[in-house]
Amino acid sequence: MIQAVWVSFFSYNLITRTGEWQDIQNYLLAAQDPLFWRTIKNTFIFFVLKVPIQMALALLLALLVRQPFRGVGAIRTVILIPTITSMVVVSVIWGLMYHPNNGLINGIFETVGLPPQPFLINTKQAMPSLALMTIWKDVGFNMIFFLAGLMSIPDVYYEAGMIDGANRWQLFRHITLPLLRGTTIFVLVTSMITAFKVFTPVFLMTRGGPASSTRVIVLYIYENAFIYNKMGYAAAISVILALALLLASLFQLRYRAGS
Amino acid sequence: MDSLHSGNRYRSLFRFIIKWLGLTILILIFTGPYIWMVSSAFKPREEIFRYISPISWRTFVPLEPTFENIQRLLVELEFWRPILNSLGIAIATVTISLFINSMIAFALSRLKFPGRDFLFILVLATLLIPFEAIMVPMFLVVQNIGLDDTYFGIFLPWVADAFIIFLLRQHFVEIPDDLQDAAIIDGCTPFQIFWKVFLPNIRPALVSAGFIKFIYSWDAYIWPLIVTRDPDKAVVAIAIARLFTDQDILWEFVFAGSFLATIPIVLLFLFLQRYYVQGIATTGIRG
Repeated sequence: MIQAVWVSFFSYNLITRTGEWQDIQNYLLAAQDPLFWRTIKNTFIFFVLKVPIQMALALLLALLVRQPFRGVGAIRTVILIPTITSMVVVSVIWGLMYHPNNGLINGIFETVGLPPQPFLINTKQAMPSLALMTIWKDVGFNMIFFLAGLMSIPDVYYEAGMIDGANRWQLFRHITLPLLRGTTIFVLVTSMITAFKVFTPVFLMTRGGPASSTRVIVLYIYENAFIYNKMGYAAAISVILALALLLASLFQLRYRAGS
Repeated sequence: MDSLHSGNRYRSLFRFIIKWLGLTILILIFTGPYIWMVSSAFKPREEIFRYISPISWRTFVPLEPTFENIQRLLVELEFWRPILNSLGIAIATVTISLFINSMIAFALSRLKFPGRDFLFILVLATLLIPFEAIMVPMFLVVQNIGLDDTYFGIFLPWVADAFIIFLLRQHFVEIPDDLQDAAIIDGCTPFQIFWKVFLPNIRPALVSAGFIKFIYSWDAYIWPLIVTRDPDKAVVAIAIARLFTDQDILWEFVFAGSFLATIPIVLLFLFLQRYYVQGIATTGIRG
């Protein structure tokens, strides 16, 4: 980390392994670089498309697999399998599923009479397609935390609520949700960090395209450092990213310490 | 009375069907991509494309199952090499990191020395900064000490792991002091106490930590991508990505490679699911 801050003040050349002191030039460069702002915006769009839906689904699934019914163990396992599958495998398989001509999803669309979609090769659809895929992969991970949170709520609260004549929605609204606040904040912050450091699916499935519509911040760091050979600039963007995520984490720790 | 009764029966039958239809769709959403991947891995190339539209059972079942994709991938494209690389790296990462991190966790929970709690906070602080934000300087460090493009360089940054330290420390803390006192009276050195008394007591946590570490090591992509150039040192993730990003996507090999890379982990998961869930959940319910 200290090294990152240090390098960010240099113009470091990877091949000659030399650098010149650049002061805060790299940071000024970032402030004036429209592509940098574009990557921040894209990363934020990805976060907005992914995290709220993912958290809502994770909570719903946690409520579902908490019920005792036959086969619930199998359903829980099935939801968790994407979380242990490697991101590269998920990206390539979904990349083929999204394939405009031979992909599984357009196959399903055509079968039920929907028009085929371009998905990853369309500026409007690429980011939502990536978000959908990562929701599928990460929803089980969030579900684990919600499940643990649900288990920690004592049954007597629900029993007391039922004696007072509360229906299921009221029990959920006035007992489950408030008591899951700590869990929800934790899941929100960890999911936010995961969303802001997304790289592999974007790198493999769209390379930031089409027309930079999916170029996210970590991809931009990678490209600057290892393709354009601008190590100092890449380090400066890294420092900005690290500070932003650090702030989010501290917010969460503070909240937890306060409650 | 009679009609009311049968109305109830229809309604409960209706609810039953809706419930199982919903659950079936849910299961298909999560397993569909895997079924497609596994069946396509055993299909000849033309058959993969033939039954995509319209979708039918033929999309998900190989009509003429063949091992040719897997065999050619392993032998002609030398996919056995990345598999061995990934396995070796994962095993090395798991053993070394369990050994080192459990010692750190032990020291941070059972030994008394000045600055201990500050050290623990420092360790936890590393969890707040994701790897992606420090990969550039990390690469420069690894390059400067001459470990770029070596197996050692691939797993060295992953050995120390604050998550594992945290997880194991949680379990060390719960062991009663009497056990430690008894061992000291018996004349055990701190290392003996650690190795013979404490470690055997936290075996489930070690399985959790080891399995999670294995999954992350197997999953790693961006770091091996940065740090290795030699194709012989490629890990499974790199090799699969390369099949996918080639000029023409080698569909049958992408499926076969994904199948080989995924199924062993999934099978392992079926046995170790409990440990995985407990390990992950522990980090979430901390205060």
